Amino acid sequence: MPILNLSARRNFHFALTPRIQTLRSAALNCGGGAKRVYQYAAIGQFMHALQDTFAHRDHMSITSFALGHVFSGHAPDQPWTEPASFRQMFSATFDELVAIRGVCGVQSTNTPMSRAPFDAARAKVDAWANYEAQNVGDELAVERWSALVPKVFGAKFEAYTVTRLAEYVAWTRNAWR
Amino acid sequence: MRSLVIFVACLTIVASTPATNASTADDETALRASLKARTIQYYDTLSRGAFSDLWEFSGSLMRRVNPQGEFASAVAQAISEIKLLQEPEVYEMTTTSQGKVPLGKARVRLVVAAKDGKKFDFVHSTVWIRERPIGTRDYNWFMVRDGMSDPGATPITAGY
Repeated sequence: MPILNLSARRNFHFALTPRIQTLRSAALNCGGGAKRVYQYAAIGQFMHALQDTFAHRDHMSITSFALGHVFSGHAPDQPWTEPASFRQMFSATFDELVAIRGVCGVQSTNTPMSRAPFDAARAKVDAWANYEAQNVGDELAVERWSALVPKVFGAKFEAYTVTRLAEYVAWTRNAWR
Repeated sequence: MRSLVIFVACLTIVASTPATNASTADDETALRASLKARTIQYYDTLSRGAFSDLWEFSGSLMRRVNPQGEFASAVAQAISEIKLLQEPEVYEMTTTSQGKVPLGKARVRLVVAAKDGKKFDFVHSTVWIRERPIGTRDYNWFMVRDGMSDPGATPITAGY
């Protein structure tokens, strides 16, 4: 994104609560059955803005709306930069995806689900975040993050990071045609 | 002879102990003063527009996610002038739990003129770690992360 793209920055990357609510309403305005591309886009925009409110917690100023996190580059977007916020974002993302699934899911996937796998994953994220919060700046944070991710995904690691990702990339190539 | 060997061994251990393990000479006051000097140097670099030198203040983690050229050019594209409204203030010191590596927080009020001419008055907060980059001999302070808050708002919201 161009550094001075103020509209996109304010709307999606540094969104405030009323804007988040608007994006959330748009994401949930989908109904059951097959989705149109714009409905998937609305869900993606909401999730991006929601997650950025945690990642950019220390950049919620008028200046940040204009300049972004220019003095720290990509650092605020990394989970290890502010692990406590990442932990909150992890739970918020799950809760919102469950809400979206409840409204937007097709009938075959709209079945009650157990929170147990998520709670198990969250316990791993909590342990990671506790350690990282006490060791901010430690140069091995990237390696610890890389070790955490397969544990959080569990048996579905390859399905999500390889198979589903490839399907998504293929879908994005055709979706907007 | 044996006591001489033990003495030399002890001397070697003492000499090789990292400066990050806060020794008597490296007490909090000295660390705080060295961090303040480092932040003054950092903002002087910003004020002079020497953006290509900013990367040298980045901690090892920040360097891993910010390619040097891209980082300098992003700052140069966004900012035309920076003025400090006060001296940087070191307002908190602590250490990591593992290895007791010194960490510190600093803040300063700035006015930044963006490339489009708009001016922004804000508080820039920074978190710094004391480390020794690969290939260098001395420990120094390097930036871990930052925050930008409106004047009067709380800088750097969550712990470290």
